[in-house]
Amino acid sequence: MRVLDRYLLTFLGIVVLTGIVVVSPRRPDEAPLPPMGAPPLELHDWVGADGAPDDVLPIDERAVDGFRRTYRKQGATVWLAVSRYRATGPLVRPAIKQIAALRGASAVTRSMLTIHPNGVPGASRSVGVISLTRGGRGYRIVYWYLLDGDLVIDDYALRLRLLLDGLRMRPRNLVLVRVATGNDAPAEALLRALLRHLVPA
Amino acid sequence: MAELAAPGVSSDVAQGSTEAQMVWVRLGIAGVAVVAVYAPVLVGLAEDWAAFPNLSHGFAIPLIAGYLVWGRRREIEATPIAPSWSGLPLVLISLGAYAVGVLGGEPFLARVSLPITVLATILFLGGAKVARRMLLAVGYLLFMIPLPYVTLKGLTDQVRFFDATMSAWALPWLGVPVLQDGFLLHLPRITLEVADVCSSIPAVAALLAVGAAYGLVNRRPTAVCAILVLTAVPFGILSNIIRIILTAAGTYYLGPIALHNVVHAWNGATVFIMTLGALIVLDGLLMRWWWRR
Repeated sequence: MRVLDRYLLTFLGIVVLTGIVVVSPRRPDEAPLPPMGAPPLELHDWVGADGAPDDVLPIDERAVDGFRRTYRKQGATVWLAVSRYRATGPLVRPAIKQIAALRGASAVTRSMLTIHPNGVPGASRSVGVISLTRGGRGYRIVYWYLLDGDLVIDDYALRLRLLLDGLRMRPRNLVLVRVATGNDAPAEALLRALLRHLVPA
Repeated sequence: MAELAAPGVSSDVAQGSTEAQMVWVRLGIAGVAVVAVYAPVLVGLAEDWAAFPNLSHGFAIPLIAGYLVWGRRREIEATPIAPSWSGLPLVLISLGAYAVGVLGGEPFLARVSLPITVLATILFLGGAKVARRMLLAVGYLLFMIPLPYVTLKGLTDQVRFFDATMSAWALPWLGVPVLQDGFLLHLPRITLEVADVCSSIPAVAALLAVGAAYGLVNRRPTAVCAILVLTAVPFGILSNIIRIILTAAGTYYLGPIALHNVVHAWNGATVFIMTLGALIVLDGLLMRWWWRR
């Protein structure tokens, strides 16, 4: 028996090939992200202020940055949270259910909501809805991910797209948008009206 | 005086010995190649084990796996080496998964591919019989890989909630009035949080590894091994709930000083010792039952 037979040579060939693929430089520089865009504080009839309850809309520790707003109209209150993640390298996979549970809330149900964004007649987008309870109070969180503008609501679809982006060496930065209402939630029509301004066409 | 061997026997023995050495040299070369190509993964794993106390059992896993191989060395040595092309697809799949995991930013996939690559290498260069002999030791390496963050965080939060709920249910039996709000336990003069590190989940991964090591090192029958591994989870969770209840009750009756005692401060070690004790008792009972059958 020889040390270097066809089995070992084949194996070493595959390993070297894998090493070349894995080690070859392909990661883009971690350049600073451009400033985050934010909706205006006065959004049609809604009047906004900075800040929102951390226990309802916690911002994940892995987010690069983010902001929270509170919008009010006709006695109704809606909270908005936007957090941004780098889509390069590991640990950038937010998952709405885990983020929602960060402050002790227990997730109850997940569903979808169809919104007709403003400015594009006939257009409709589906967004995710998660209902949870915390401290005996119920909350409804409408959410969607934006992958450089592409709207995604399924966690696994998001992971797959990030994986494919990584393989194609075209990482895109990721934004998670959440809109929450509490027990004093506005009527469905009011909430939908606000979402029509926030959901991209 | 040396005994003379029959002509031909000594040369056969020498040739067999040389071949055996060749086999180990070849497997050694392959092993070095695997370690080299997985160097980034191994460094990342070691960093995680060092950074997070709940994952520190990872350092012991390769050593235990090595011990499992050492303990079976006679059987492995007696197994004929027969390289097999049937191992090639598994080599391609596992190294392909590694490449996808690294390029796609999925470190869990890259890490999980490591034990599979080790097994595939043994299958390819050593043959199916050798791979079967080493399956348990190589499979044991899976315990060194932390769960993905999202899964671990999700499980941790769910079990934190469960721990808090069970503790809030049990505390009134000890005369401690309590109001639970999510992870928070409101006692009359103090509010306690069942924090991430208080959750049973991080300890469960280590306890699963301990249960498996205990059964494998002691060469327990497969059924007993499986029971020891599976019961490590409920034992770990139960031990942790008992620890939380004792800490909360101590805080109510003695004050915040109870938070600074050994049982609370060394939470991982406390749960570990309680669970290991339970596993040893269970093992004794199981083996007694096994021999009586």
